[in-house]
Amino acid sequence: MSSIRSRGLALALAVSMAFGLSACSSDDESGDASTSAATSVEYKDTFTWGVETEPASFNPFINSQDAAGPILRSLYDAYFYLDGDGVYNPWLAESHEISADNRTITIKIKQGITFSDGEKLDADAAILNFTRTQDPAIVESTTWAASLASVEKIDEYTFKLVLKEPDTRLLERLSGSASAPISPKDFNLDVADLKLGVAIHGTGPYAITTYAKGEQVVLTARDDYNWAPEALTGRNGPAYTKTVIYRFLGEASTRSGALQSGQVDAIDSVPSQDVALFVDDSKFQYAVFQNGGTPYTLFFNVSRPPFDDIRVRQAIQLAVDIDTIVNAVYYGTAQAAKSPISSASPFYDASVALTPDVAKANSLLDEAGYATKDAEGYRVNAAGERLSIPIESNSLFVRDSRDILNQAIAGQIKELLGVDYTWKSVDGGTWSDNRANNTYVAWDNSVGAADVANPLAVQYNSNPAIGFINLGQIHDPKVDELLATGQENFDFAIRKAAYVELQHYVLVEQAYVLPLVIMRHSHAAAADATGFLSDPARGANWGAYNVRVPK
Amino acid sequence: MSAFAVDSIDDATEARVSVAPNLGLARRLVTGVTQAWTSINRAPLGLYLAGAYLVVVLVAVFVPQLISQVDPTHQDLLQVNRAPSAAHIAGTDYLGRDVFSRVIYGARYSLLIGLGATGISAIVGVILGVSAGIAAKWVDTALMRFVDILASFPSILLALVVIALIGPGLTNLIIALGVSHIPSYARVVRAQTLQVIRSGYVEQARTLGLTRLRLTVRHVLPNALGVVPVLATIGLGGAIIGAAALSFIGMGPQPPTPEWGAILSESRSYLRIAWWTGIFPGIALTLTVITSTVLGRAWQTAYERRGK
Repeated sequence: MSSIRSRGLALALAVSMAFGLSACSSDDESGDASTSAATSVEYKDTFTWGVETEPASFNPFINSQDAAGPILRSLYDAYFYLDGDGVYNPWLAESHEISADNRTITIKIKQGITFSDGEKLDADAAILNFTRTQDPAIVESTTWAASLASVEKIDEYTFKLVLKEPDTRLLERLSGSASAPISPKDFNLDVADLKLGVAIHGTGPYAITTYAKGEQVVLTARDDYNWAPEALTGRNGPAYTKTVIYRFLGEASTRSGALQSGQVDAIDSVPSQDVALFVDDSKFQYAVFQNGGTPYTLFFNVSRPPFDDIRVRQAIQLAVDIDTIVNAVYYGTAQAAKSPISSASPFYDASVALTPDVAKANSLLDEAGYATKDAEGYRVNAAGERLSIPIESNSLFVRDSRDILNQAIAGQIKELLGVDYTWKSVDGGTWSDNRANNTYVAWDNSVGAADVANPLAVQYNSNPAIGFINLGQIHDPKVDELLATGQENFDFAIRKAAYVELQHYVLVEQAYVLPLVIMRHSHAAAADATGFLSDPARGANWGAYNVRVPK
Repeated sequence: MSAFAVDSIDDATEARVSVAPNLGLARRLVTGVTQAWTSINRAPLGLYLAGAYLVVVLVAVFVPQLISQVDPTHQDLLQVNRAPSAAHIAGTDYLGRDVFSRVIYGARYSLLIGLGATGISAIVGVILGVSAGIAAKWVDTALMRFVDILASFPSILLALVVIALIGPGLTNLIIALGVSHIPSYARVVRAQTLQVIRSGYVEQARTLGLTRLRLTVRHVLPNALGVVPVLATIGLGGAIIGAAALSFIGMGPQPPTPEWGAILSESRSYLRIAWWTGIFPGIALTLTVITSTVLGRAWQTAYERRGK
């Protein structure tokens, strides 16, 4: 049996500030109920979170919002969880075995696990999930399952995943919400309900009781839950707090105000400008976790002007002083990204970082044919056509001051290069049209994950069935080859070599992307709230399982 | 209302008809302004202050560089959210931009939107109102039911609907706001038109055989439209507020355009640590709307006195 040794994922850089160490399970959240009884602490029945992002869907197969992770973690369990040492530990699985040729994974499920509708999780339910989630009518793309040849039942609680070729992505996906099983009965729901996901049932410690779009979702703890990953949670049994409310507070200042005024017990995505309010006040605690996977990155659309010209791409890369921008926009609470891979990943190569060079950037644009400027001071080509770069972001994914970050970049490029570079947020429909018609010049994206194989595959692979968000339109055999090496080998050294080469090739040689900022999850809470677990490999809040606050 | 007689008459006859009540649009405007000025001379201090502020706003609109030489979009990322100081009298915002300069240059966008929207409302409202007033009954009924439908929506909601159809942006914001305020102009102008065409001199002109077009242009319009500039001046404040409201929710000019509503929207996440980013554009917006209202009311008073 082998495991993906993502040792360095301990570098998840769970940068804990102030009282953030509570995130590492410091006190009674690792104990049991008797602890609280002994100290006579009484806890509230309800814990209220103020969260920035409302899940676009509660279906774990469909939702791709990293920020929705903690909510989904409270509803759905995975077969494994990846610890900080890069070891896959059992969760819904009792054990697993990988064949010598890395093409077969046999998983034995724990007995006694049920979905929140009472249905039991067994091999049949698991196989149904694997089968139905490859139906494009339900899930548009399951790239992680592309290497899956078949799923075979061995006995009532054991099944076998047979792969077409070795794929490091599979176990990683089996440790995330995206492949968490849902009740077999849920596949009888109509497609719209299945896609919204409010009515489906997971095996998690909570189930949805009410959902008011744009307002809140209320989760109620399951009394029969008894299959938590104890090594991480420190205990088993039902969740501590009976009712957890996630209130959707998209407005940054509203979130901060809600916590300060005691309307909520905790908030996520703490606005950078408000971090000091919570760090400097003993009534609150604050913690931040740097995400693994890929950072928030600008992908140049290389299939159309102006980014089909590498000189224009390089010019933009060299003009942006990302350190200064990130420091100004995030008030020193975030890290600038220097590579297509997050610095929280063990595959990150610090030597790939670019150094801003405005003079060179300007000469590159001169060489690209934009040597003169119009009356308004913008660069134009020989035909008098202005070099315009209108960046548009899908408003669904504009969070955590990304709007400010993009404005700062636009201002810098406009001022230093004389390029008509603009940014605006557009609604999802407009963005979908842009994508369908290939009328966008670039797109921005990040994928948080415990391992880089899947994020890189979906963002860079030229096969649209795998690289379904390869909206940089990168069709490069060398990229595909390096991705395959990193994906199919279980040897860390081989993978590292492939990913180091990939970083240099993608960022420096081909200038396909502009890395912007390492994504992170942060939360602030009342000082006496406890039980904030972190997902050690992904660098994210775990969920509501151990969270509680005294009365 | 029946249709007018369409027989033509000579200019001399027309001149005799139009002597007393019809002073001509230009002349009436001049008279209105003169009377407003007379009122101003007897006006309280508030009106002087409003006038002075109007001058400042007009300078900001047409020659903002006289007030601030700093580029309102220039970023200084090492000077973000700095409090007001000698270097930046209204402080800097979250990208290190000079707040004072953004407020001054923002006057152009806010006034442009306000005036543009008011212009659209007034022009379309006048066309609809006059048409309803002079046309056949079924046309009047159809036009006014259309206006009723428009008026049944709160103006801000109607503007949102229009933006949802045509998209956000400066031009579309002007159109949306303009459409949303059409009903108030159309109704007032229709009432004025009906009042005019029932007056003795119009009846007399009609019996003398003026064409409908000539009667409308030479007699009805000049007498029915006197109230429109008053309405527009008062409505300008509402249009500016509406523009700021829509910009606040992202329906107006996009960053980094220094439109007041957009600046207020951008500042809302920073008020805890940089109050100046919201206070100064808020003051500018408030004073502009008050000025518009004060001047409009003064004009209205003068207009009503003239009528007596």
